[in-house]
Amino acid sequence: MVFEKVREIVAENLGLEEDEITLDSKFEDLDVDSLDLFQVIMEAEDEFGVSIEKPETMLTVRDVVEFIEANK
Amino acid sequence: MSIYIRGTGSFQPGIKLTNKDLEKMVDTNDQWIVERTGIKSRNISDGITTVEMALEAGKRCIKDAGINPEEVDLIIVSSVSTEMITPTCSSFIQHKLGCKNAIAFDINAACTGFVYGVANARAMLKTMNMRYAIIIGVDTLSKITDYDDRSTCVLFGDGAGAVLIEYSNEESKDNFHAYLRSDGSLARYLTGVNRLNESPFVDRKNSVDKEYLDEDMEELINNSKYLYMDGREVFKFATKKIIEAIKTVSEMSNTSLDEVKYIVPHQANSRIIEYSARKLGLPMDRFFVNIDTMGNTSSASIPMALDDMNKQGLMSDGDKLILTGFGGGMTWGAVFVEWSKHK
Repeated sequence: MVFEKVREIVAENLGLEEDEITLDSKFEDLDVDSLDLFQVIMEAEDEFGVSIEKPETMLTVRDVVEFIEANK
Repeated sequence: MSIYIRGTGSFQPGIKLTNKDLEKMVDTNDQWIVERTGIKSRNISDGITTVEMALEAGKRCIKDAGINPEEVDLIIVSSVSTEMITPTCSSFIQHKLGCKNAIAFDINAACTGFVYGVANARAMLKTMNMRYAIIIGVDTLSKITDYDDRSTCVLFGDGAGAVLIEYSNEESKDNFHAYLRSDGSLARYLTGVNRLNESPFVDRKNSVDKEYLDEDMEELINNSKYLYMDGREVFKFATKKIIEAIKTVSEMSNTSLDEVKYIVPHQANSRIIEYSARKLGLPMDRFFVNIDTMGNTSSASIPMALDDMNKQGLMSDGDKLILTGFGGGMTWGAVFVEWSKHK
């Protein structure tokens, strides 16, 4: 559930197809800069009502999903 | 009752500062700056004052509108960086432009100041039964920029832009709408300090009297020797608020965004504009962007953009525009306005 939504946010913000994104996708490999990642984090925060203080520590899609599951 | 933009003018000061130049000053590079901000160069004051830049933009605006300076009823200057507390920048301009019949005063709503100025001008023209107003946005942010801080010094440029609007009660057309907002609880995201109280009656060691200083204000002052910005929070704020302002003013005017020729946003960062365009479902070519050669010029960015559009011949009489700003305060807003250089 969380993963599906995060995948949708990542796909929309980075102009990717959803099936290109897995839990193990690394943001670095998706050709993401710090502002792209910040846009993803910003929307994930709004969607799940969490606050991710250090976006730069989120290296993979899994990092984001696990943070949300632990904090929502 | 209707209101029209009748003329524009702008001024960019003498020193062109490219990303390559900045590479020699701080640890940054052209590609990084272009990708994250859209800025390739910005012009910086070589010593020309804020007031003189505003004067030049105002002069060009009156010439473009083709009216007599004595016909101007109102001059509003928006700035965070004028040289003097009194006289105001607008008083100086009123005299130097020969607008001897005009009321003149300055306002400060940071980067939203020009939008606030246009809304103020329209309200005053209407209630005081006046005809012409010049609204000038001008800033010399280089005065308060820390050129050792790579996160902010790459962003800012200096300049001035002026717009002349005409209010007429000949037609029964309601073609102006304004949506202005402020939220002081977010003030800490974007700050700059003014002269502090150093009179003999104040403890000079502290420069400000701590006993009377609100804790929040103390934090803001300590952060703000130069322009301070929390980039992440400002990005979040800006994208949310301009989307809100554009949608609201479009609804207020009963005009769909498809009928608006251009949205002219405050030129703070091209990524903010691209993100907002995507969220609004609009192509980027509906937004006018000239940040690549201007940088973020605070209050001046929207009128400088309008002058650029005017010079490029992008506008025709009857075209509808949404001007939208956001910035320190925090403040944000948008106005819906019609372009008509000829009657």
